Amino acid sequence: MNQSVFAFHVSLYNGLMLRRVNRATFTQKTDAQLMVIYAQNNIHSQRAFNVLYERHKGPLYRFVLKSINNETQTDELFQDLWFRIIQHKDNFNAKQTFTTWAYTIARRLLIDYYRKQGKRFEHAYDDAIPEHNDESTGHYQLPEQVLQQKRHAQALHKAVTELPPDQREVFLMFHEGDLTLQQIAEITHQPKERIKSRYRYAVKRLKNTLQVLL
Amino acid sequence: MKNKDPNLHQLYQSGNKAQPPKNLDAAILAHAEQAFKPTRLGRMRPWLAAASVLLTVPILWLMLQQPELQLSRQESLPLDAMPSPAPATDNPKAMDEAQATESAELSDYLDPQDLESEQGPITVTGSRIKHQNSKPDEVGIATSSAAEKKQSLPREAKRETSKPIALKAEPEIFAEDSMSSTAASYAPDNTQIQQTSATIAELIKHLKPKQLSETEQALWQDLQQQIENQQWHQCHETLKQLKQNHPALDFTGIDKRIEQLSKH
Repeated sequence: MNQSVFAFHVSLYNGLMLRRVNRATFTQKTDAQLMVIYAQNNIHSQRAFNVLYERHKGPLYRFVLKSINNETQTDELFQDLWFRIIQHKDNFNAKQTFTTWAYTIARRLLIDYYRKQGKRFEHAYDDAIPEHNDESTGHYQLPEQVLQQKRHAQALHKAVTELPPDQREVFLMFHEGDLTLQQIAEITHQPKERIKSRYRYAVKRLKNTLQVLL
Repeated sequence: MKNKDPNLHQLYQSGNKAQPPKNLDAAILAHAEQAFKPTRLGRMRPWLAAASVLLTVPILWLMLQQPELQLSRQESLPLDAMPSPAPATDNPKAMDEAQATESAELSDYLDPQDLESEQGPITVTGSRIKHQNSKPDEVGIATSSAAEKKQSLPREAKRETSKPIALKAEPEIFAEDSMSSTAASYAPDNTQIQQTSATIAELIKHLKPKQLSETEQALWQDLQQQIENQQWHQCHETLKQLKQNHPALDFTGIDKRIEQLSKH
């Protein structure tokens, strides 16, 4: 009796350890590796996708949200974006980064969205301010400081939404997607210098707006 | 420009915690799982493809080995039911019945308009001409006996009344096989003349010796041409000369036929 209970505990422990090891190995893998595992359609595929999704869902969601400033449409576009990633998983080239690929798809979806709205991407302004679930940064701050930072952050987000679409796109990809300017140039099919100047203009405009607002 | 503006980035990230709703997460993960499941079945594709090839290759091989199977498939049912021309000419009743069944079968499958358009070409097609072609032989044999001749003439008349288009093919047929394809052969009562002249041609062929001198050969050719041109008086003269040259041969049959033709 005791031996059987001991054997059960051992097997349970081994299972848990194995799960921990697998989870650790998956979280340590790069995006491209996870995408390749997902595209292989083996028993690890779903787990690889879960890790990939957890890693990129926030930045991609915020990129879409701040690009169109409409939560309902953002949900639809975000779902469509991931459905396309799932659908075209076999087309993923492991030589390119997952973020470049995913943001390229997201950008195409946004262009389609603007077309449906009857706007051109270059002139797609939307002054609606998104309502974000603002949370504290986690650092210990005085309530006045927290309140001030919240105000500043809200002002910045409002200023970002008011940027011209091409500058906003570069800013969001740079800050949300953690993409390099070279990657952004590849995604937007623009020269790197043009992307660089767009980013400079965006930062300059944001700072000017923030000085006025604050 | 690799480094971001630190103050701006920190400020931007401070209030930047928007996440997709939980239900959206669940929907996307479920979709990913669903997309994964069918493709798992898709792993059997190579094996399924190999199995299908293994099945189809022997079937194709068997089909190629037996070409008669392919031919039988290509033939349609009405064509199978169509009687062959040779036995039909031997038995006129059977031929008429077969034609009737054929037309009935065609009318089953075709619209009335189509049937009309089909009937026209059928009367002048190769099969019909072939069928008509067998007539001179048949008639030639028939004229040898008077009883059979009587049978053949009403049959011919019956054909003319039932299918008048067949008349158009007849001059061409006799133009090839006989020597009487003149304007007279297009007369309404030309069938009997054609039969008789066809018989003369047959009789000449039978009577004509194989070994002939040049003058004899010329006489025989003259006779044939004169019959062809309906120069009956000259025919009689040539026949006299031939009788003198070949006293052993019996020219009475040819004489009678020429007399019959000259009366017409």
